[in-house]
Amino acid sequence: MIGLCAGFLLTAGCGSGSSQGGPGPVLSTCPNPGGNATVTGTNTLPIYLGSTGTNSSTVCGGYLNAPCTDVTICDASGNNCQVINNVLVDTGSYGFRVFKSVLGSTLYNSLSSSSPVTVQGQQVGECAQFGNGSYGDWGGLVSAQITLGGEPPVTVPIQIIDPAFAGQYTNSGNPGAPSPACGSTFSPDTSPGNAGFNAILGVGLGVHWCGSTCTTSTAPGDYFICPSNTCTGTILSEHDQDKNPVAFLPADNNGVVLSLPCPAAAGSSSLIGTLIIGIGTRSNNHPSGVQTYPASSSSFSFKTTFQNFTYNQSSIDSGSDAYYFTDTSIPFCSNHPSTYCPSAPLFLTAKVSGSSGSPSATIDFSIATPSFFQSAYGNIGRQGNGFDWGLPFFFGREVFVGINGKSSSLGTGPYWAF
Amino acid sequence: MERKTPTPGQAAGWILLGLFLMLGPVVSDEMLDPDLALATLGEQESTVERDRAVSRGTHTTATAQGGVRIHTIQSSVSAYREYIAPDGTVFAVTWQGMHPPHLKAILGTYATEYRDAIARFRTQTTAPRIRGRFLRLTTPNLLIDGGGQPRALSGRVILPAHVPPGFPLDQIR
Repeated sequence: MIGLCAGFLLTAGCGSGSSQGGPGPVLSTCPNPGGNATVTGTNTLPIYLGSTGTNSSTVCGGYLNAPCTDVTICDASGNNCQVINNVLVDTGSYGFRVFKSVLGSTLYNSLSSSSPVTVQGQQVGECAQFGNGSYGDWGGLVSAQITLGGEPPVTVPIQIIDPAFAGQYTNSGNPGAPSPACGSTFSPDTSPGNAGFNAILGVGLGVHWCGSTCTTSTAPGDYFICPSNTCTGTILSEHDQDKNPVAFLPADNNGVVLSLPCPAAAGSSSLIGTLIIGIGTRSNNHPSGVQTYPASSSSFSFKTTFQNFTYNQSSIDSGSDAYYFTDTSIPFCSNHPSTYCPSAPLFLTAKVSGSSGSPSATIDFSIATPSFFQSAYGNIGRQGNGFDWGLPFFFGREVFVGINGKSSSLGTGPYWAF
Repeated sequence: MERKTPTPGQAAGWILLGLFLMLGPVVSDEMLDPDLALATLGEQESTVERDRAVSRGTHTTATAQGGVRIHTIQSSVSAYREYIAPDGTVFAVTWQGMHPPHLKAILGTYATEYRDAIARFRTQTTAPRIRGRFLRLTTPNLLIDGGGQPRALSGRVILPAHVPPGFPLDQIR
């Protein structure tokens, strides 16, 4: 056990791994236990985990490993502004979506009457599919003004999450129409409390939610018009698609950096980090000593090789709360049949590679019985049929997220660098 | 459902599918009519006309280990597969790409069980809550898993009780 520990950056208790599978881990592979202090500047937004900052205990604060921030939304004319808190910082999607229920009536009415995104005179509805495609967000598109920290505002289409938009689902998420837009087996997010966020800020590798495919094809099932509450798919220009607001800033538009400290080995009740806008554009976002891993410009994925199998659709996703992968030798928790509960902490390694196969690096990570009731915990793994580097990967790192087609000293996006 | 001589692209699809599965030969290849069917989970392959695929695409059929037949529809944005046991029962459906298939039709009588499981997964309000892009759910009749990113979704719905004995679950992809 001593030798095993020596290969890793350790925190207190190494070597005392219990076979009882108790409530907390004793080991951590977090790469920078003492560092990653909060970063300041007009191009920064705080990242809150747990019930700290502006997080609510019933929304972001009620989830494990949910990184959230504040974003200001105004109508397309820059009026009727509102600060939205509990906004999930998501490197796994592209665009801004906010629950109708958290918008004040004045702002909502202005957005929906003055700046809806329309096709053939009908407001466009969006089916934003996540996970296996059977859950996500349904609602209409509007143009809105978004302000990220001290950056200048940008006006872009956003989605207003509303299961009852065009009568497609009920407020509780059941089908509300004979053939609802996202399908009758789809579960739309219904409330901030259930979803764990008031809004999602998608600042991943893509510029547009769908991109060029949806400008010529309705096959992705993303955009609809719904005259008389009967929805049919529509193509939609990239201009009118919901999109990553960072890419439309006048400067600092080539990507973002997520900087999070390490939580305690047994988990922390709260954690504060920073979302930094731009890569190499200011003194607070200059990359140093990081390696760039190009991603696919179509799927925005790169490669991860784990236990001699290479996953080509791998991603680094702050919107996922755990490492998601398959290791059939690790038992599941008795009370949770998709979360790994090893009898003693496990040290694992995987190889990450750019989408073309290079460059590559070996990543150490650790899995232990989860501290479900903490807000930040670095050693949690869940079963997944790919390899998804969720929020634990971000702990103790600065992760650079290079937007598709945008250049920095790290290269031209899409890329990850860390 | 006449058989056609494959185009080069379709032939390449054969080869890729064959390599991917490392299994038996492709036995048919036809353009999918939007009203053409595959089959419905838990029912016979002969329910082919009742299912409604949502996209045009290339329809291929391969034979795998133990006489399992695999129907694949490759559309412009997604691939769907249905797995047929030697007795003709559809025991699994899978998808990869930007959009799932028309699950209400493909899941048939299991559609409600599937939907209810997804809804429970998304609305759990007691710890340990999960927020992520992958799921693994078991219901009385179904094994449901999958996940991914918006442009690379994947999923599987399996009827464990109907998987032919000895057919490995990791070959259902």
